[in-house]
Amino acid sequence: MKKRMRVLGLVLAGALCASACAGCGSNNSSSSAGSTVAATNENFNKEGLPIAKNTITLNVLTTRWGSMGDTFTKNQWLVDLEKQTNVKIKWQVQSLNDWSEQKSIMLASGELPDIIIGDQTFTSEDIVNNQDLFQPMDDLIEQYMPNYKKALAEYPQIKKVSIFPDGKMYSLAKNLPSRPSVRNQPIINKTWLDKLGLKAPTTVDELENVLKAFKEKDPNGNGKADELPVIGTNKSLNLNLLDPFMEADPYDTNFVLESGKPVYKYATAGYKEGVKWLNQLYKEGLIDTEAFTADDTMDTAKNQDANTARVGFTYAWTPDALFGKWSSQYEAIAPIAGPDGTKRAGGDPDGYSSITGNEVEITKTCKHPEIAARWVDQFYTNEASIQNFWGAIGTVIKKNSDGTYELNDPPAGTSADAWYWDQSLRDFGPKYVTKDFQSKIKLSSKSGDGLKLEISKLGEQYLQKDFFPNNIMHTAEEYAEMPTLATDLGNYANATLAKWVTKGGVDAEWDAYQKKLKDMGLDKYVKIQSDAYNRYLQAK
Amino acid sequence: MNRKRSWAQAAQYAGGQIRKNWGLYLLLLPAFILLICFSYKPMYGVLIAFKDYHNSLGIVGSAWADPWYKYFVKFFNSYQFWPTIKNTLILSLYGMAASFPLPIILALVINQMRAKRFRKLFQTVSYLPHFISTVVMVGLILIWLSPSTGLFSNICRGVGVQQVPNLMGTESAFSSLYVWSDVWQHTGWDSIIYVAALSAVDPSLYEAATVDGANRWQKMCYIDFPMLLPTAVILLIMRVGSIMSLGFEKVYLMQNNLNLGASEIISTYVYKIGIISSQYSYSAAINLFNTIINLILLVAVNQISKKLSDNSLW
Repeated sequence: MKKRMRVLGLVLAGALCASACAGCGSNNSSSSAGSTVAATNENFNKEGLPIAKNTITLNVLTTRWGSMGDTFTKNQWLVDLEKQTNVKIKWQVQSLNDWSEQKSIMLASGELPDIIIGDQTFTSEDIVNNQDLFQPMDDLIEQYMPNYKKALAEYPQIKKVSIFPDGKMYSLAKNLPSRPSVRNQPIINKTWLDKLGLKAPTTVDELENVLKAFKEKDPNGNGKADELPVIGTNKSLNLNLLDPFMEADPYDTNFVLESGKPVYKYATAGYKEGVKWLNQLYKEGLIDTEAFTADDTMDTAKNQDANTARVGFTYAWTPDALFGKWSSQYEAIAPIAGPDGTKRAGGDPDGYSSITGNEVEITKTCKHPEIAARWVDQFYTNEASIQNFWGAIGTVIKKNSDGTYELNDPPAGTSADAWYWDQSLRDFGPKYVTKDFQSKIKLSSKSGDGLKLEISKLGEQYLQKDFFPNNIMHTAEEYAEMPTLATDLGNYANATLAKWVTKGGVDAEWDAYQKKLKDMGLDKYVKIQSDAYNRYLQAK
Repeated sequence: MNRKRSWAQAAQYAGGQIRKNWGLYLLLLPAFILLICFSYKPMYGVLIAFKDYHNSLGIVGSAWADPWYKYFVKFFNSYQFWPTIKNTLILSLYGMAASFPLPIILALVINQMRAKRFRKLFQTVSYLPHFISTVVMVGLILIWLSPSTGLFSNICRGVGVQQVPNLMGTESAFSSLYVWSDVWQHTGWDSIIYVAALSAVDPSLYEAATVDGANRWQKMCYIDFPMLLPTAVILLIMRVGSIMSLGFEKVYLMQNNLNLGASEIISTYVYKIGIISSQYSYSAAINLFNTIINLILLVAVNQISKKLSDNSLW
């Protein structure tokens, strides 16, 4: 019996080796095709339209949220573009739900589509770690992309987010129109304030008093003490609550700038003060006891309680998505001043998230990089950009005779935002809108993008111009270290935050906390971020 | 059988056996192919634990890590090393201690029920929770334990306790919540195999016991229990086989910043490092280390059981 088992084992081992070799074969066979910019191409027009003399097909991959589908490819502008350029596009639209697994398979196979669109599709980390799969764009931009070249010259910011550590551009950036400069803002229940005869709070002390009144004086008038002045967001607290105490981190990088230097957000003096204040609010019963344990659905159940409004104060983009049928009770207010009297708002003077990198990549698989480059360049004009952000002129956008642009009302039963996603590439994809063109776009201030622009004005003058940018580039060596450091430190900081807010003890444990962060490699993490930030500043 | 047969002879012998029983081997073939495809072929992937894995180079093409055990050392020196191992062991040992004997007891109780209809009903009710999915189950736990509106807090208030603790936010309560919710969910289901084993007991044994004047309790102790023992030992060894690969989903879903100290186990850490921050080599090394500990435990328990009870997997 034992012998027979051994034979079986031998067979298994043989099969194992065979399959391992099969694996190596398939991995190596896919060497990167496509050289750099092809010298001459009979079918290619260097200027003017069409781009290709005879129709040519390119594969384009993009990602979208959830199951939004690919109706946007029927956008009249894209249909016209196909006719004008002789470039037929085969769209490959992937849902971001399962993209992270798909992505690994695609990168491992080395077989990529010709053009990749969308900043969520491939991150800087993916590009740096697989640099030989992507076409450096510098020469292409110089020769074939006049629109993008203009954008680079006009907006230094665009160049900054697209230069990789080796000095080349492997991806193109975008600049979205009509983005608000302030990100999340304080939102308070105005109906409750009016009922109790209170003014909108301007300082942390006033806010504390208002929250106390919300808790004790039954502002929703149902006779029960069911008001929750502040609740959590999916098993944590909204970190914007610390805005009055510390420098802004609008892009959630976990870093803030203190006198020009990147500092770990969870190790600053302002953070300590802020946590102390949150602990005080918690002790007074002003923060929901379930703030750190309730999941998203439980939070929504409180925000949109069927019987009555129950939540007093939060930070958000706009009130409407959060509070459902009670949203008319809520109003955005100006930033709350911290103990030192400073009001701070987190965001971006250039328009929050209007400029992001990695919007377009051309791969080494692409056999006609010059045609791809000229096709992509068509997107970088003002009119093309707004049509790829909201929808085509004639369907979604109305062009007025005085040269201004307006948005039509969405069809009955559709929300404005859903309609835009249906009709355009929306947030993802190549776009560039100049500063003076922005003023020609007229938006309704009642909903969606226009409403956000309107409430953003409350915080604009307090906007912090010094913040740690997103889209800064790291080297492959830095990417090998950083994720583990970020995960470990983040885990520890978040667990300690939860403990300090609910049980207190910031003062007593602060030094030990700082020491443990250092032991876990904080200095290394800060050094990586500082190096990357310095490179970002020096990029020209 | 000649013990010193050469390899060639062995192969010949095996070939002869296969030819003789080809029908049986044919039946084995589909399972064998599945095993190769889904269990053995993916195994070469563990190579990435020893390599600086690079997506575009593939598993074989990536360079060897320098030194080859680099990622293991990184984990040994990590701040997460002891906490994650401790939490994994606590959860799995506690879980085994609680959920191993209970199905046996339940099966013995079910076996004693006389009224057939009641017995069926009782069994069905006890294994229904098994069909609740993990996500729904955690949702139920969260809602039941919510200190403001949950079932638990209402019961507490009913008996006069005003300050209801937030159990989901209590580090020391995490392992108990995890284990006992699992027990509630699966005990009924797990008892099925024991009930089946008991139904195979020869009725003449009971009759003989009755003649000898044994009462119900004595029958349980001297007939039912010894009959269950071999099944129980095999099941126990098989459970040890997966002791370190705790269900990842449930722990991850129950995790929050207040109970992180007790709820960060190896598999949740691997998920965060490997999938979310794409450190494939590092997370593969952690997982491989986890598997090795598990293998050692499995072999040890198997040997112990062989010595003590003559029951073993191999």
